[in-house]
Amino acid sequence: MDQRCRWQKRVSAEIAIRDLSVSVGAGTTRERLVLDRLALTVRPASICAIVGRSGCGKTTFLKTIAGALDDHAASATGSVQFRSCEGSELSSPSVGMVFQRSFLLPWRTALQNVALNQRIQARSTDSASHARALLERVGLAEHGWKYPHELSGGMQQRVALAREFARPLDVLLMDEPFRMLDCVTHEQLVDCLLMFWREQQTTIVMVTHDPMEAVLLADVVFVLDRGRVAATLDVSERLSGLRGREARTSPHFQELVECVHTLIRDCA
Amino acid sequence: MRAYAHPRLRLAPPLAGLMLLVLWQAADAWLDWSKFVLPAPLEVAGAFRRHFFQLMQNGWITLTEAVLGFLLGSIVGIAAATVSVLRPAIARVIIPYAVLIKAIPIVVLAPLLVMWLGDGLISKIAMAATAAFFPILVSGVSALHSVDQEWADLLRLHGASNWQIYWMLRFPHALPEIFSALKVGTSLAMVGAVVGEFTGSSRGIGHLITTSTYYLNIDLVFAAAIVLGLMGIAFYGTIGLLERVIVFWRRSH
Repeated sequence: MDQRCRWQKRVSAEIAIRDLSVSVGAGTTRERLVLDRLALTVRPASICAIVGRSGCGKTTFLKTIAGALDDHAASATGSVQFRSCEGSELSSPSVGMVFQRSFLLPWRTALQNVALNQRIQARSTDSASHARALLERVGLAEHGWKYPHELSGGMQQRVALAREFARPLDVLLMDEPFRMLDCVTHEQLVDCLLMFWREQQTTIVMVTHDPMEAVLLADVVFVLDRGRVAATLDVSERLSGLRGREARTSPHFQELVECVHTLIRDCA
Repeated sequence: MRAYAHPRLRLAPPLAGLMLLVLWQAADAWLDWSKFVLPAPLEVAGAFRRHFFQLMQNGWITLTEAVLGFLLGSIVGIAAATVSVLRPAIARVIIPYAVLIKAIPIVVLAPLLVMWLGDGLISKIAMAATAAFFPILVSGVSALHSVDQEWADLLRLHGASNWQIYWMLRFPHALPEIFSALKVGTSLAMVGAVVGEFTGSSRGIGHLITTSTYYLNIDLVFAAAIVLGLMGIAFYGTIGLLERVIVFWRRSH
């Protein structure tokens, strides 16, 4: 079956978060409330950016959505729901994650890293050709046999993106994925991300503390402060849906970046 | 290897060794020490030549004990570390006792092991295994646990089971540290085997050293020590070579 057909038939996921409170260090004297009755909704197939100063709970928020909170160290109340457009709850959405570090397996080639999911799911049928096609689409066709340490940082991140999108992805969570990259590499990665996003209609939640990055990619920017949503900014409306390098051409771009900047600063 | 960058400097260590041997030989001629205290290099070389077959035969036995013990100790060590990662509850019961046993000097175990397992090969293998086991267990446990949480989360999101996370991520990720422990383990296995032979044995380098000391064949003791050293280097080097082949991604870091 053609993979792309299967993806297009999929329904996009909405993320609904209600009254989410997370405290870390429960039961010790250093217990701290990281998220405080947080409530927000991420529309299906949209990109939302979570911004805020260090320690505002961004990463904890992502971990909670990913279901990767350590039960011993943190306790959570409230609900995180993944719903289809029709409102029915998705029981086991496929969630991908991209971090600032690529987290490629250093003992596997780029190609084998992209085929990680097939390997884990023991679906060996044409996994190699699928992985090769994905690498080609992120512009790394001739680097498939290289090991991660033979690739540049930007290339590693592109492999990581291809690895995550190698399976039909309902939700992609990103934790400062484009930090510490030069501007050309940054642009390449943004292009790759948007290409996959348009194709798979994945719902993306991105954590960043760079206001420009938030405006560049997101439909909606949520400003987090002390575990709560301090402000919400609808970017797509102002930029009329422009994204990536197109967004930069908009006359409102700088103004929006400035606005997000001010919102973050006002939190303090 | 930066210190030896210049080709002429590369010759410095062997030249220094050679000079030391010449000085030692000369001092022996001038000062006329008793050869029962410190034999001159040429006497040691003579003993080496006279007893070559004996040295090789006993050396082979000691090496066999050390290598078999090392293999046993490292397999059990890595297996125990694996259990401790996959079943932390079991680890919490076992590890304190492992540490307790480790606190007992290995020399003390030798007479017990010889008594229980006889004065043949088995007790020496057990000694070598016990000596090599602990550093491998301890490094293995810490290395297998040291994977970034994000990395494990990422694989879990791809649907990986605990066993898959172990096999695809934790184990290969721990290999560099495990190899460091294995290299330490080679030396400890040699020590274990020789100490076992000192305690009770009729064969092996340890036995040869004990009997030679008894008959004041000090030159042969020196020759035996040199054989032990060379075997130790070869053993260590073999594991180092394996490390370079297996942990290939670390070379370029």
